[in-house]
Amino acid sequence: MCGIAGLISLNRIRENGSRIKKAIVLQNERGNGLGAGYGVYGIYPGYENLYAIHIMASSEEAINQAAVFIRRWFKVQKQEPIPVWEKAIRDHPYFQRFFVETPESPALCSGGQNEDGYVLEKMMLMNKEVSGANAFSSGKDMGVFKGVGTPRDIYDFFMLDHYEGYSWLAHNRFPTNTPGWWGGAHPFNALDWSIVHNGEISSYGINRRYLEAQGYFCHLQTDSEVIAYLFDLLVRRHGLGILEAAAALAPPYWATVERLEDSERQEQLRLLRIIYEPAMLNGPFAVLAAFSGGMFSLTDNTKLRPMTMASQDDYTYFASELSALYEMREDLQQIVTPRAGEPVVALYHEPAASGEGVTA
Amino acid sequence: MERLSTVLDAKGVDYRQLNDMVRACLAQGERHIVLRHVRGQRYLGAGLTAGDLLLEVEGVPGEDLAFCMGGPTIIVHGHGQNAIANTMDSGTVAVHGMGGDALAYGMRGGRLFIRDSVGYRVGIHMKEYRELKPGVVVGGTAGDFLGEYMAGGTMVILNRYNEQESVCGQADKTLATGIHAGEIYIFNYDVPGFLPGIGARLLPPDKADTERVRSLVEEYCHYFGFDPTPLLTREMVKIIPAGSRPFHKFYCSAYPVHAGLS
Amino acid sequence: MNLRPEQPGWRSLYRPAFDRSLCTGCGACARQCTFNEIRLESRQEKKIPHASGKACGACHRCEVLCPRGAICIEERPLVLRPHAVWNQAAVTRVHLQAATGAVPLTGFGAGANIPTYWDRLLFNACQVTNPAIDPQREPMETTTYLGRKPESLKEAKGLKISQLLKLNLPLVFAPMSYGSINLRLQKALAITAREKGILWYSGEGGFHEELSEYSDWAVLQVASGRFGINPAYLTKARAYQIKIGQGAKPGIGGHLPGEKVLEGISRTRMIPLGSDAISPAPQHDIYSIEDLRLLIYAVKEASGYKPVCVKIAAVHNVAAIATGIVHAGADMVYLDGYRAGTGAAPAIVRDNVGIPLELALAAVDQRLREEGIRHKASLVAGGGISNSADVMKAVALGADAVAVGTALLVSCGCHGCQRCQTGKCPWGLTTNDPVISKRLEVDWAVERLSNLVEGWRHEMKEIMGLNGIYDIGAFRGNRLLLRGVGLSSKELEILGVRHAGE
Repeated sequence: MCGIAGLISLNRIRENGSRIKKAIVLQNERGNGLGAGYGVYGIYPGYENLYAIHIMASSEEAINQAAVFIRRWFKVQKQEPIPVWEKAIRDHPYFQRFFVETPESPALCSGGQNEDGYVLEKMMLMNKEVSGANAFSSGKDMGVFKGVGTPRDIYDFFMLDHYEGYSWLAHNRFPTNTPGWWGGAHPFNALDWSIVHNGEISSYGINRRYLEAQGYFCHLQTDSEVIAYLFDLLVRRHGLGILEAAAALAPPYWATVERLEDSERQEQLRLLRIIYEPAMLNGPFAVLAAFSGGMFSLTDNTKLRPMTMASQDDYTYFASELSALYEMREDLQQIVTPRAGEPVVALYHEPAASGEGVTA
Repeated sequence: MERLSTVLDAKGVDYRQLNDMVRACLAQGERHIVLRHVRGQRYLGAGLTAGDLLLEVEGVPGEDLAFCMGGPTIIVHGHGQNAIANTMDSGTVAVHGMGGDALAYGMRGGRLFIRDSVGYRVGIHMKEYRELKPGVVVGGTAGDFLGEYMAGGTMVILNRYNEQESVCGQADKTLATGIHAGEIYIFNYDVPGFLPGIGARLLPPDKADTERVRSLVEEYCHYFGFDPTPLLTREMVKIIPAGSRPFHKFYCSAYPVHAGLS
Repeated sequence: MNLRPEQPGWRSLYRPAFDRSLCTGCGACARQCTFNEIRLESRQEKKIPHASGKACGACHRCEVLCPRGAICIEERPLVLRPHAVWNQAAVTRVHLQAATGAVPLTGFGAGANIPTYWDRLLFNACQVTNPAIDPQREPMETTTYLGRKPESLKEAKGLKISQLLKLNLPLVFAPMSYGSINLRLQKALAITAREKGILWYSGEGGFHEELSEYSDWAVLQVASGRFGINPAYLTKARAYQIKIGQGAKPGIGGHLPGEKVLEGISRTRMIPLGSDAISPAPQHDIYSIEDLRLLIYAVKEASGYKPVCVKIAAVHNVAAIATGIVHAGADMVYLDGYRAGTGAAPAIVRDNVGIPLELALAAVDQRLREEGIRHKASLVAGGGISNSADVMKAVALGADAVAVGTALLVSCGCHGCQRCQTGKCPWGLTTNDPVISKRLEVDWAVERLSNLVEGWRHEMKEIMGLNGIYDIGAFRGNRLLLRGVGLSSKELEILGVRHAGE
């Protein structure tokens, strides 16, 4: 289900959403108007070091409840409605965003985790406890904008012409297993991780149980949600590199592993697969993930969903359909279609001022 | 008398409208149609049966190019996407670039020429019937599941750049799995033993094979302006079915019997 | 395969028993048995039939055709110590697999002991407050239109009624390919469908030129093998069906072995004589809902925008899948339930995969209504429909039309021996053997099929009338007409039906 587009400036040059919009709108046929969304990094200069929490809620009352919740657990530096252009979509939830810091000593509050762990835990708690409200974006200097509508509607609704960021993800949804609703649109976010997904996760049942046992709360009624949490678990909490995490989620076939000549690599792949069996994704998928260090794509082992990409002049572009790449740049010299299970990683040349180091 | 061509600008035109425009031109007797600025529009040439139509596509056509087409020639000046020549019956498609996944699925006849490489699952269930024998030539390399369940026709992986890895897929037992008719030729590549799937057999080509491949490759080269000679002087290997019944030991009949100690 | 019936211990679980006092030794039984169960022995110038006890599958052909009524099929159970698990079916299956190392194939529909909800649903009837209608005397209408309908009159601009499929009865003949059945039977289905003003579905075996005069009542299939599909195929039918799955074997493909690909089948499927006709499990251009949309519109583009139906097996998440299919542009969704028939399927799949049609249909109809898209596609439901009450219960649960398949074979002689996959169907139905298939006379089959449809039509009208309803439209989706008996509250909730007494 769905179409994907992404672009990233490796030099962190900011631009508004007009290029990504063209790329996702071209793929209109891949969706059905029941979901679209964008994820954008580098959009909140001046607030880079604060967690930007985006909330959608079914009523003003729920917004207020969410605000009470957030103020209980965080130091709120700023709260404002997310600006929307109602003419694009009349029937919509309420949106609000909060720029927050964790309290001085989060370990005192619960869990004994670091700041990121604290934030994610509270977001899940809020989604569980505050009825009608849903935190759908919680990273620093980034934001997710999504909902029920076509990619053009959602773009106009959130007025994404007015935001400038250095990496953009976009998604065009065709829901299959769950109804089209605002929270179910992509990207799915957990802290600085945002993912858009094309396909269906046949392993969802066990992925979800695995995550829930580790404290994640899967409430969005959609299989794609687990991918964002799995990256958070594997990379942030377990300290895997991007390529290791990719090999855990889309491991090579045993037969391929057995043929490897590099026995160290072989042993590592065996271990990853044995340990992370319940995290392994089965079923058709093409995933595009963005995080504070860059962006990467991953497809399933048999390449059941499409992904194409191109790199030129310190930009990397991704799209489900090759033609959409040209919507982002007309004079692309070389198009690449990644192989099955092969991640394509594009990292920023320099870490962000506040960025944590993430290794590929 | 030289025929004039009709040029249609596809920029920003919805696929349905674009295909209607093509059909309308056809109905007016146009036989050379050029589509400019094509970007992702689907179904170009789908179901068209005018054998003397030449459709030139400038840009990147969308999925299902030449779906169930019977006769026309389509030349794409640009890359192709997925599912080109899906269930195609006859005619020719030549793509000046690369092709995506699932090309030539269930293709029964005609020619598909892709100048560069193609993706996964190309030529699944390609088949033939009487005078209809499909021919596919891929200039570069192909991904896994090439020629799965192949039931006829000829596929050539030309490997123009003489790659020595992943020329026809890389996953175990995914090459020509379940092939029960037809043939695949792969140039200048030592196909690893783990690649061929159930029912596929590797053989050196014989003289008749070489001739058949030569004519297909020459046709391919004609479209892209290559010299066929250096390409054809390289070694090639043939993949054909080991037998006509790849799965015949797989099933038995569930008779209401007590089989004893049979 | 290593099947050696001549080995000691091999025996069938059925056997024809002969009444020697009636038998004249005419030998009809031996000629009729296509499995060589019966041989004739000469004794004192008289021919005497003998059963080998190795191959009888209870098809009843010899019994029905014996001019003297001298044959009775007997059961020969494998007597085992009673055990809840290791019963006859379990023990014989393991023995068979131990002998062959293969996957046992079977035909027909699932026979496992899974609840048949039709039998737990009962109709209402008018008493006092509302008059019943006598269908013999009063008008009773069953006209049904299938296809994508506008939500309101405002939206109807440009719609031609002729784009919809008109049926005289909410009944269609389920897809059975030429190959799984023979051309005679398919022709009889086509003739009957035309005569009765309903639809017949081709299955994926292509479209034989002999049937072209019935194309206006035909829904031709586009399945994974793409057999016989060329530009002409995509323009001649009334509608097209994209087959994703089959209730008898959800998630797996089909395989017509080469020896069955004879001249007519070869020509119709457009594959060489004697070549295997393999239908891969998925359609390899569909791995996702947006790919399905791609194929739906490919078929529409190539066919001049004829209605497209998508057939899926009833599986766990069927409601959501059906929703996706409607959003993908399908004009009809065909639900094939757990008990649907097949020409050949692994027994283990047939009996263990999928969910009952009743639950799937109720869930799909409900979900499409909740999403406000019920009008966008018609629902056709099939799989294990064995009488007209099942049909009407399906309509009351929400089906626009109901598909029958196995019942049609039964009407033409089938006794359910479940050996369709062997190609030796003694009734000449699921065989293309040039000699055996001659057993089926087209005219006779048309008469039987027509009779069945007529009988059901009368009963269906009776059921409508006794509920005080004269138009099928008022019956469709009218779940208040049903009550459940002996069902759990969860089952009732899914069926959207109250318990009897409520």
